[in-house]
Amino acid sequence: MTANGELSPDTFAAFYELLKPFNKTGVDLKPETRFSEDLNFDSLVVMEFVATVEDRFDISVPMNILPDIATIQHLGLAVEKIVKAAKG
Amino acid sequence: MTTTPRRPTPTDNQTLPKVLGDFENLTAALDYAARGETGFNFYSARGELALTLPFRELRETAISHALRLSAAGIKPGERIALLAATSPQFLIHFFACQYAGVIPVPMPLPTAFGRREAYVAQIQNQIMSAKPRQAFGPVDFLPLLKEAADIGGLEQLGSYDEIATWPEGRGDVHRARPNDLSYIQYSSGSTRFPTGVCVTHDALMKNCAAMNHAVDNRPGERAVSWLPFFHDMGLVGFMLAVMAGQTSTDYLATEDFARRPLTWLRLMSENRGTMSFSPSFGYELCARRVQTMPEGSVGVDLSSWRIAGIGGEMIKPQVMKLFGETFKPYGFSDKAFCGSYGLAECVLGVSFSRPMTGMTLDHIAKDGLATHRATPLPDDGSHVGRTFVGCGVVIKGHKLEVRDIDDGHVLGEREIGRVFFSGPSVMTGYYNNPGATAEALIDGWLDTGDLGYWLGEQIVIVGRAKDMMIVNGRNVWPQDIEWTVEHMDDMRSGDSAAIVLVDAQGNEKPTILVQCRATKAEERAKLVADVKARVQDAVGILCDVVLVPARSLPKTTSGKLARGKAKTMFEAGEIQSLDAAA
Repeated sequence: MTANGELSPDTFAAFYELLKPFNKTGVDLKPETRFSEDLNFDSLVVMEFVATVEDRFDISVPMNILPDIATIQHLGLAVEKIVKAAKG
Repeated sequence: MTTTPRRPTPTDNQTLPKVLGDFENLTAALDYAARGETGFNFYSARGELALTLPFRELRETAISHALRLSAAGIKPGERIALLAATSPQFLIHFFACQYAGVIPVPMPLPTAFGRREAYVAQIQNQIMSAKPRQAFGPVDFLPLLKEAADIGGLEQLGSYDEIATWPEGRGDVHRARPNDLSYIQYSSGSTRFPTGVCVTHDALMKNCAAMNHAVDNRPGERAVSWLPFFHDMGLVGFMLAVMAGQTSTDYLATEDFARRPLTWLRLMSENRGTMSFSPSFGYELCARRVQTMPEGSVGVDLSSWRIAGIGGEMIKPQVMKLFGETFKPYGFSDKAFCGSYGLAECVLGVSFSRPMTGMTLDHIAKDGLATHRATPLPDDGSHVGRTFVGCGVVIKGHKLEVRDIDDGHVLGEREIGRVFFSGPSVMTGYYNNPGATAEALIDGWLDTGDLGYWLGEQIVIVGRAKDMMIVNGRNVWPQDIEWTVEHMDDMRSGDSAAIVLVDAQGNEKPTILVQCRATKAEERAKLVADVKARVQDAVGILCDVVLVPARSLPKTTSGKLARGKAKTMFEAGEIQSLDAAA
């Protein structure tokens, strides 16, 4: 997602909590932290984390956005958009 | 399909007798299956029934779409790329192509975060190889497809829903001859230079029939699958072969399985599934997930599971044992484990264990490859060796040979050599690639490129011949080196690639590329020393150890290490050592 804009502090805080058990590399989590390069997510971990995010926000994350998601910021903004759309 | 169905298609047909494949062509198989009540069912991520597609309805819709394709001027023999999502639309369009004589080329879906460029390049390369005029996919994926198509030279790009709005033509559906192509399958070869396997109707039907016989498909059979349709095990095993045996099949999308693996087992349980296949890692995911839960809390009954097939990669016996023990309290019988071997070049299946015999384990000496002999050892912990799993007996109507690596003579029991396969399932060649075809097909035999040995009537696969390393005149198994490295602390499967580099003086140097997550210099130095020592200890050769960034080693579409590609990329500087990059 090349979506611009700021991630809301609430969303980032939620991701911060969700990512704790996934943060095997022990990097400082920031909006610009990258899933592949910084957190070493492989495709199975990616899916496990997506499931966690879906459960937390009670949404469904479509697979077609995955290739555009590189950072926490990207995924967070996408989630915000999905949540907003779900509320109508 | 428009309303949410209350129940899935029945397991058995009321009156239609079961016929196990061997139809004249794929449309004849669907014509027959459509006379019954069985079919395909699609489940949501939470395991709820979302859609049913009885074979009868699949046939009707596919034929009407075939007439739309023909009316649009798409001619028999042309290729159409189809994005292989786990959706009714993919199945309908795949079969519509069959009824129109058009050749579908299933294409993969993205599975990882942030790899847009790599994914688009992969699609592009497949499009450039198969040269389809059209590509279709789910509407959500069209922007990605469009990016690939802009360079790949496609004439038309559309969503699956669009075709339904095209005007339907008149006339008869296409009747394929046995030697006509049914589809082109891009198997787990290089993503940069993809080779498309040409599958004819005859080869497909012969393989489907032989596989259905091998697993003893019978009344009461019900299949469950989460395997992707862009992989041969999903496409052939759980879409085409099941249909050719009129077997109702319940689908879970691959990404939903990856998110919630236990949904697979819940489906098996609720629908009284009898047959499902997975690479070792699918079983591992489930076992791991359950171990973090209280005992007995999963609430599944796996006693109906008759064929728990294992294929698609080297079978990991310790993982399978873990699954068997974990799910024994849930009624799972480890006799259901069915080791198998196959490759897209033979449509899919080559050999299967006999149903309900469980895994055949063989513990052999580690120097097997060097000596070309699989010397049995007692598996009581007193000898360090390697345990392999029997991949079963060759399918009916086909032949397997194990041949000497050096002079090609046919080998006998426990002699390790190259595995060759012949029979009606063997591909006619790679699409538009006579060079690669000539390398693979020799006098009607397919060189599988795999190494194996006979254990009684079973073939045991031990690794890839093409990647074999020769160090100081000794044959060394790269898999052995990698296995050793990956069983060290903090290492994972796919974290290393053992290759041979040639230095300026022409000296061959065995080298291990190791993915490194550590950032501190002293940790890195320790890792290099540890790997070197462990490999020397376990495999007996001194290797150079090069640390590379995490996730830099390439994988095939089926998730195996692309060792050859790793070597090429490293030599080309596309993978840099961490020291050089720093």
